[in-house]
Amino acid sequence: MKLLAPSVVGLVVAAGCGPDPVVLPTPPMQTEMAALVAAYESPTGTFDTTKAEDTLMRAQSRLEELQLDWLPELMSDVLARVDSRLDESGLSDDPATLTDTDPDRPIIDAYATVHRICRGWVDSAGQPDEASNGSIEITAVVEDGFLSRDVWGTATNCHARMSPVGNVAIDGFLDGTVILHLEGALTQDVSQARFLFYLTGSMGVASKMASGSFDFRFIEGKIEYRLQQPDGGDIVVIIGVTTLGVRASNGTFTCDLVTRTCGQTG
Amino acid sequence: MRRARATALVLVVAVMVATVEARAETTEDGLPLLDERTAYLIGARQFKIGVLALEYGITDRLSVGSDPPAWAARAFLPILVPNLHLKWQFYENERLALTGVVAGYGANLAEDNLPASWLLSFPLSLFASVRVADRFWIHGDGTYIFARATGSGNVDVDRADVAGGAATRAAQLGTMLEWRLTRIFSLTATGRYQVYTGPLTFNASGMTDAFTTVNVAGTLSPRVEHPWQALAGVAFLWKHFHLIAGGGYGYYFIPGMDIAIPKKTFIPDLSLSVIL
Repeated sequence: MKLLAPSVVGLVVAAGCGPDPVVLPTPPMQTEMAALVAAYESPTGTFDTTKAEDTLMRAQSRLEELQLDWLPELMSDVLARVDSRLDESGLSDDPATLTDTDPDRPIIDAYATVHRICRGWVDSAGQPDEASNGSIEITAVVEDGFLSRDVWGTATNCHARMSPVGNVAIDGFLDGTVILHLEGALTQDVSQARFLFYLTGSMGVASKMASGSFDFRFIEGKIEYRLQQPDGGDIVVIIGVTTLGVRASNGTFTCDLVTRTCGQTG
Repeated sequence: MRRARATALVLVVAVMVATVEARAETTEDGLPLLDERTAYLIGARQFKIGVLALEYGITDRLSVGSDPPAWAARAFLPILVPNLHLKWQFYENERLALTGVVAGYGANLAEDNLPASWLLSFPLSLFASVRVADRFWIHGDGTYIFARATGSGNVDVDRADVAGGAATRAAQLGTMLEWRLTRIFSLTATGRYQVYTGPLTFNASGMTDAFTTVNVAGTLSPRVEHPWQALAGVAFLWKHFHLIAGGGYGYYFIPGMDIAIPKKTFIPDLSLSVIL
């Protein structure tokens, strides 16, 4: 019996051993993101069609700041890599659905981090140089089998080079906190991505940089962004080929970029 | 084909006959001892081939073995689970036996074409068998399962999911009451309870291209925190053939690995083994 006591004590002590459980990281600025999502869903500003020209000029100015000719593709590409990793790990890549519909499946809490060295503004052979090219690190969280809608991270001095099909390469720059609010399942098809982008920091191209907060929504190739109204509140501008759509608290509108006129459509 | 069957039948019979002189562990008064989930061993130079265990007695106090069910799982799961255990009886007198069991199980959780990531599970058990009366035993065990998944490759959580259960950190207590009605026949009553359930942690990282490094870390936790089972059965301990059969209710614990399947159900209990 003398031997039994230490053995039992040993077993009890062993029960407390083992690796620490993984602590899931928490996305930053959750309150701000919730407000941003609401701003896109229900714009608070009103749109006056008699001030169409003023609105179109401000919309064009904001459009130039948002770097929409290269940034959505870069973000979609990063999300595609997150998607690959989650998929290979048997984890959910759709915030709307559980990893598995079987309620008897173990509780799965996990996070995936993708650290990507940016391509740089100079094409060079050999290994990419993080010190000069910068990087983007993005984190996605799966909690109890569900992919959290906010995927976030940091762009550090990221010198990106994007090559849109048929166009010359664009040298973009990104630095700051990035949050991608998922509006749908992650996908490998860049054109099918659905997310709300938010950045607080700096971004631009080689010839022009801007600092502050920037956001836009990318829904399967269609891009929307917020535009502050002089009399308060925001409207949402939807980019078209020859038109701009407008969603406001007083309805939806379509503006013709050739005639510079707007009309209410809903 | 008929000749092959006849040959196989002759071989089986020959094995049974040849083992008549072999000997399993017995008490001083000649009662055979139950060696599954107890502190008793099969004995020196004995070899046991069973449904639930392959066991070889190196000495009277040390045996080594492997669990066939874990290997056989390959037939219906996408993983192979090599495993080994050592059973060491470190104390014995007429009334009490104490035995420690150290087991190790491994499973590659990565898909076949990806770098390996291993789930390692080490159940550590302490068994105590007390002969409280001439024909009555109380067997008890405490088990701690240390489990961790790790590797440079990819962890596929689908592969760590065994019918809703998972090899996670856990502590379990078990007991079996054995009432020997005849020399070889016993009635048994068995209970098992998982007193502590911890998560299975996994962590894997790797490069997908020269620009991109990815890391996945997480935990799997069983949905049932304190699974239990209660079984009743019989044990026939013939000299060279052991049969344990019974049934009960609760959560099924996979033999050896002691993973609890998180569904309360009727639990069949069957173990057949030949001791050579």
